[in-house]
Amino acid sequence: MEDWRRIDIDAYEPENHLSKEELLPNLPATSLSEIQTVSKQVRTLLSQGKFLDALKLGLQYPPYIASEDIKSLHTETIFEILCSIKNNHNLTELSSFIKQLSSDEQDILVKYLYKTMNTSYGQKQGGLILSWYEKTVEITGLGPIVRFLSDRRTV
Amino acid sequence: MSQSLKPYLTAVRSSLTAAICVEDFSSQLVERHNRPEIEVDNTHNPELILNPMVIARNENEKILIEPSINSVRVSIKIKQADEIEQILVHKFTRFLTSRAENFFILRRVPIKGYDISFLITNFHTEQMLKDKLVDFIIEFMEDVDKEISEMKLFLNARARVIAEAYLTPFD
Repeated sequence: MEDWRRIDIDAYEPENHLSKEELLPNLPATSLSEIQTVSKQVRTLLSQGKFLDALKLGLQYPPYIASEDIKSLHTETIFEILCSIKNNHNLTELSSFIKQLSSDEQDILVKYLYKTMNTSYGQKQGGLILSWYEKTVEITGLGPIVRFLSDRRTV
Repeated sequence: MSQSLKPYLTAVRSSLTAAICVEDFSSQLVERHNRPEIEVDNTHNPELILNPMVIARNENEKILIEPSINSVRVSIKIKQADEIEQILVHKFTRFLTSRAENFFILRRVPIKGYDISFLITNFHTEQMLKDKLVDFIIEFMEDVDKEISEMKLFLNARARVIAEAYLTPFD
């Protein structure tokens, strides 16, 4: 056998360590049609001026178990909500929106803020996302950030 | 301080404070080894790596924080608006990385797509205060922008003087 030093011997004992698949949480998968319905409902709510309801709806069922396309589609929906709230209110009013979310919803909001900052459209609107982020952390403290880091339910 | 710089730096500060939460951890694969888990191949123990986070002010100015159980890698992309700034940033970071042993947490090679990287392990947090480490990185980010724009102004001023000196005979 040539080059036996390079053989990955740990691969022969898969029972000794965890795999990436085992780390995924045991949750029902989200389908594309569900996400599309949510994004349609969100758009109607936004056009009616019900910003808080739209935000809550968007953060209610994040697609934890779904393909990358579905996840990024939902991220775009959340980004749209954040933009339209920011465009229709001044900076100080953001805090009141965040205060009206439950702590779970705040955690999910922070997850989406980080996710958006990783996309090209989010980076173009860096100031907007950063002001949302600043207001959120002012209210919640470091908790949601630590939960973002360690949570395997990625958005 | 400009308008959007402050939220950027506070976001970096809180993210770093949350991420630099490391402990001593021996390798699960190699006996009697203790290595920064973020730097080694983790196909067999993915549970040691946490979710990476990106904080972006705009496309040209962002920071990537990759945490793991015993080490955190922080990579910074410094603002580069034009070619002069690109050259200056390149020279500046090369100057620093070639003296990496004096800067304890500096990584010799930056991550692809970023200009400078730091690697903070549990041994650094044992020897140094965590708050001071965070302060150091924030201060570095503030100073590097200042330094680069100062150098650029100096370079332009010097170019103007030289151009004038050369062209006086034709006056």
